[in-house]
Amino acid sequence: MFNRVPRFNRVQLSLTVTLLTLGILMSIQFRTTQEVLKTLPAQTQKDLAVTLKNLSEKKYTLQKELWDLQVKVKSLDSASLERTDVIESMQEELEKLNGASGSAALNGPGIIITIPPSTPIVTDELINIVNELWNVGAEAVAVNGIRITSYTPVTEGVINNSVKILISEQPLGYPLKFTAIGDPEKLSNGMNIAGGTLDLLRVNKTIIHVDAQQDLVLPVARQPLQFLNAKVSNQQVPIPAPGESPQVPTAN
Amino acid sequence: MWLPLTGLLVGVFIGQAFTVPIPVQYAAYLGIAVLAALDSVFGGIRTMLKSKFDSTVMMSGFFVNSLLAASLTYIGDRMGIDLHYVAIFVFGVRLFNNLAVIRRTLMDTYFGLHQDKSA
Repeated sequence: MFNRVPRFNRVQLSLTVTLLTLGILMSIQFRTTQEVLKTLPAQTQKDLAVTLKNLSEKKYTLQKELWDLQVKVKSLDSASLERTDVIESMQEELEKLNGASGSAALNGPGIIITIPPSTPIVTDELINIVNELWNVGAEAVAVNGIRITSYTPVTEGVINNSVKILISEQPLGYPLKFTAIGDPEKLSNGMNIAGGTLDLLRVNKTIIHVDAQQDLVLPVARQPLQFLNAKVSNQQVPIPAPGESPQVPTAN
Repeated sequence: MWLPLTGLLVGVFIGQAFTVPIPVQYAAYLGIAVLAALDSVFGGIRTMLKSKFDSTVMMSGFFVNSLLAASLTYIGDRMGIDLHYVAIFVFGVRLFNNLAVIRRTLMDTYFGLHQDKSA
């Protein structure tokens, strides 16, 4: 095939093709050798020792880091667990306080004491009944649907020329209904005890019904509890023994 | 003579530009092939300087020698005969021999310093 081209060109052409191929081959070989030198078997013992040392150090550092991180994860885990416990118990405490302060409606078993319009009672008698309810273990009390809490005022006033009992300034109508949450049996037994407030009222011909109920609902108090001046004291105040006059520390 | 040199440069460039993955275990055979190819090229240059150049001989030598060198070394390795060193020795000696002849011929041609008796 080269016979058609002049001799000079033929020489040049064949040399070019040969050298082109040689160039490609050498280039590939050069690159391959570079790659081979990078592989572990091609490296000297000294290089391998250095590499081993570096890798060992790196491994040690990474293991240490892993250990530190595991410790951190553990401590964070337990912290979050503790926090959950604290939040849960605080939640419970908050619910309890909300119930006690009248900020939350309550439900549960209890009793209903009904006094019909035919035998009305006076303010002191109402207060006595409420006190007796607390005394026999009522957890929450309402009168005619008005929650009684530690700060509910019970007063009396004249409305339409007749004396009315006022709870939180709401006049009470008849029939008078006391609703108390607590153990129904304990409450009715306690209230019906001989010589108790209800017994004395019954002696005075007052008609009183005491009914145990399985599911009562008490509404929230009318006035929300607000501490404008009172603050929770950090001082340890001992609970006075019965009969002892309490020593009230003065705040500094 | 620029065209062959350009060819060499272009070849190097192609080899660098396109990564042809050669498995590490075959790198040695490629090395032998390159050695044989180099020997053929220098042989060609020698005959050219002596005005006895035959492109068919050179090209056939180039490709056949390379292939044979690589495949014989491979077969040798498979048979447990280390033909690797034999190939290196033979082509190495021929390569340096060719280089020596080229050097002497060039010196003779351009300076007339040396009377070539070896070839």
